[in-house]
Amino acid sequence: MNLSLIAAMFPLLLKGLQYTILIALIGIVFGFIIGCLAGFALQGKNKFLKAISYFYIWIIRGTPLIVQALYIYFVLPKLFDISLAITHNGEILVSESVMAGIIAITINSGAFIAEIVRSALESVDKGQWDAGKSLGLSYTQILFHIIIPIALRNITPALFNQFIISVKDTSILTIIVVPEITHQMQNYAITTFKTIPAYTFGALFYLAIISILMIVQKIIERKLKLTSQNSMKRGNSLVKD
Amino acid sequence: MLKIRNLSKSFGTNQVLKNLNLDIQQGEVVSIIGPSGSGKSTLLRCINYLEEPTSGTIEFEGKIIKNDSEQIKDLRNNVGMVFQEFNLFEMKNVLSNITLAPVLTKKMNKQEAREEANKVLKFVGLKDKIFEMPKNLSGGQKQRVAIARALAMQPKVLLLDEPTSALDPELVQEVLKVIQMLVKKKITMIIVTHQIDFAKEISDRIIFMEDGKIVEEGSPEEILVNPKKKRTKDFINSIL
Repeated sequence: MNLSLIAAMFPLLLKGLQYTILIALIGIVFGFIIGCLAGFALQGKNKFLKAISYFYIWIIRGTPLIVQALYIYFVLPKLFDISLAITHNGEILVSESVMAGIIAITINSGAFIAEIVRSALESVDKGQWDAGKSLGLSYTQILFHIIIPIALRNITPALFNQFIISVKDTSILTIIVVPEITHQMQNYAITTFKTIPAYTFGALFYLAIISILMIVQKIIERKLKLTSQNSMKRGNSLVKD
Repeated sequence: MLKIRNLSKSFGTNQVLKNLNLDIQQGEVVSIIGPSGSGKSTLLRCINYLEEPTSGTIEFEGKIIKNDSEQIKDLRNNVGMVFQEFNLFEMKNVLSNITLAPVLTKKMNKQEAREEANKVLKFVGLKDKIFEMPKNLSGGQKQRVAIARALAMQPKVLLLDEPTSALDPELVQEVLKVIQMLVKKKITMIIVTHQIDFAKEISDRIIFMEDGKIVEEGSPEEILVNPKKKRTKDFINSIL
């Protein structure tokens, strides 16, 4: 591996990184929304919604991500006679492959987040519900004021972990020609025949990115442990008397 | 002010309360004693509908409570509860623990709720802990905050479910002291407790429960010193 290869490859990998992060971020945001809805449904009493959620999670967990991506990219548009691309005045804003990638990562992470949300809601001490009820609070008041803040704190590490998984999962999207990191690395290796250095540098690039995310994860976890002290300080700043 | 008629409660096939009748007068302090598994806590939890009675009625201030969310909410606004495990809202500081319900259910404004919180915290002797998080408090302090939280709703009846059972022995006294102060304030209370001496000291009436039924009830003297039923006698002897 020499400097000229790094100089040539780095901009390509950075371009790929933009797609990787973009897709993983959108995926985690919408996956979180889907995951919350499905997670609440799993925990709730409505049997119909519960069944839908179970079905969704079953499909996603029961098939490989790469098959899901292929299915969304090749089959869905044919099945419904639609184009996944987003265009504006004839100009393509989001290509079909990127859109398919976003959908694949979203529904995939959503299924896993649903399980995270459900177990977080279930792990909240029943006494919190009892206390809320005994004071005359309604179900929604207890949920939003007492339970969700606890659940949110509890799921943040798992949620960030899912984000890291999604970042790595985007590498699969090279199969549907999403121009993310793996795709850039592969392209470079194939067109220049510098197989060993190209893949090695690509792998190190991933390792660096994921390492940064892991450090961020540690910082978040440490912050969460300090939450109580922080809110105490916030409280103190309100002292009037 | 509280009339319980033919109250039964089953969990699956396990009948925990069996056709229980109980009247509580305003200002009365009633202690419930009995072996574990006798249904004491379930009785308390049925009174404010934390457990829905399987059959029977709860009448509060002349009104039979129906299983309807508005009525239950109204009942709970007037019947405070203190739990064995404190159950403070863990993500909220002491102040928010106390003001949350008055602000949300009584539409009290924040300033009023805050003044009320100051008042009740002063009463339980924890004014300096107002911005503390629950996890930084000792068990005794947590329970005193829990009592303050219940008091802030200005309840007409206070239910205390083994308020000192989860405490280290050296912390029991500070909570009992607060309960004694509540007795002086003439707050109607129903207390499930294993602290027989304490029950004797504060109660107008003691109820001995076993196997989902009230075996015997009467003044502390009648129940603890001269129990009529053999079961009561055996129980008193076993714990003294």
